[in-house]
Amino acid sequence: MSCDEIRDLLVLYAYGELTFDQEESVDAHLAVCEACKLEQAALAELHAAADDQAVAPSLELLSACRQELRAQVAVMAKVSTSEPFWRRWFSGGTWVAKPAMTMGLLAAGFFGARLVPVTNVAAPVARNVRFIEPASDGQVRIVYDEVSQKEIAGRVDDRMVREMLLSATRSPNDPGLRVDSVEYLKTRCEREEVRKAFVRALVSDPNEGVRLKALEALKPYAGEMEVRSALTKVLLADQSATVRTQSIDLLVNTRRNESELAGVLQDMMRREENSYIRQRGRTVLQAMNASLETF
Amino acid sequence: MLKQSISTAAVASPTVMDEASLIRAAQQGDQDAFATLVHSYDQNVLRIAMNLLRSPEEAKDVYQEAFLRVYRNLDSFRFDCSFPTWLYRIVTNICLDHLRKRKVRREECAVAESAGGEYNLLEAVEEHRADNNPQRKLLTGELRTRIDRALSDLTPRERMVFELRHFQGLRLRAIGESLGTTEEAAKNCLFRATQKMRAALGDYA
Ligand SMILES: [Zn+2]
Repeated sequence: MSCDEIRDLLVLYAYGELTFDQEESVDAHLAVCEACKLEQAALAELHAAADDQAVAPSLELLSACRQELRAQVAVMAKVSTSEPFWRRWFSGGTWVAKPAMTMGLLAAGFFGARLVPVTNVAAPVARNVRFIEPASDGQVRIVYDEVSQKEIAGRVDDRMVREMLLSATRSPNDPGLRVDSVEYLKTRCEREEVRKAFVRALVSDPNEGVRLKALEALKPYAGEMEVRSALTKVLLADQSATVRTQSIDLLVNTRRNESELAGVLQDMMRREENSYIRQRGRTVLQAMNASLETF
Repeated sequence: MLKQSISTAAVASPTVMDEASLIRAAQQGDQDAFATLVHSYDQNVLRIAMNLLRSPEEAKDVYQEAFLRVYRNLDSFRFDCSFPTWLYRIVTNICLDHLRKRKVRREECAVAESAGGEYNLLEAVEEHRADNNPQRKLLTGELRTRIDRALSDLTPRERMVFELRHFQGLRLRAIGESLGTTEEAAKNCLFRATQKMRAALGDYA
């Protein structure tokens, strides 16, 4: 094949969209033709540059979209008379009218004064939480899978609600759900199990938005040892410059032990490439009269 | 890395109730099933819209339009293609409409726009990108401008195919299906898109 023919194939070659035979020809040609190899490298450069232009929507945007969709669907469902389920979902209390047994419904704290104490119901073990949304009267509504989907409504103070929210912070497929659960739990950050969940999310959640949310929720506890060590870990290893920036700011603003912080910052200066973060570290170190010569 | 995470998300399907049962339940008015269905795909939908249109407001409009259309037409979904194919067909149609409208707008007021809001948005987006990729060698402003311009100079269809293949990692066959055309036509689109971008890049690469 001629160089021109090969170059036409390179575009699809990069995406693995050639036939077996075509790919063989390209491979054989690239092994001997320097010019086509250069063209292949140029294409790779182009792809990398395009990757750099990609933008990801924020989880806040996702959350806003979901809420707006729910509201719009509610309006549509009200107009239609053939969909009683939708009305049950959206119009506040009417959905409880459905027998709890057939619905697989767990209403916790829904009946106000006559509420069934949540502790009387067996606490759910790890479940698959599907989504979380605000319900009336400051409650939170959680839909989760068991054998079939069920739901529960109650206050964050209720043990079962809290445990569900905690398990939602580990929901593997839906970062939007993890962010929502952190949001609901953050008012209960004084509880150790909540802080533990946030620390875990901050250090190991794959999604940047979730890590930022957890970091924000932990702010009032930035003086605690375990939180500080998580912040340090994140400052030195997180892939996101935004997370590292927030982390250095929080560590600096809440420091008690100067020498500990100086050590962390010196470690950071050895590996950090982001100029804002480096500048911030340098300023703090200079202010602390720590030796800048060690790095 | 980006492509990886997207394609895993694309195939992540409900584990407990299978998708067909979810769709049937949603068709009978079970709103929780509908919400579960939406939540299995909406992150990808939003990502496609955001990446194509570069505007949170427009991405949000696409999201609403797409899923409301799904909600209204779910009755008529007959399982003769996969649900994601059906959904992507709806989403790509809406995105193409937005891109076409935008193209008309751009041609109408090319001068006004270069001084106007869109550039501010691009700047904000770039800042975000730079923030997130400190390790990656930063592109020069000139190269970025060229790529942005090359992307926006593609025809809506070329832009869409490039988006779905390059960023979303869909196979050309699936893209053809979603766009209501053949694999061959999708292939040609991708080829033209890449050639145009390659030309716009010139001696930079
Ligand atoms: Zn050659």
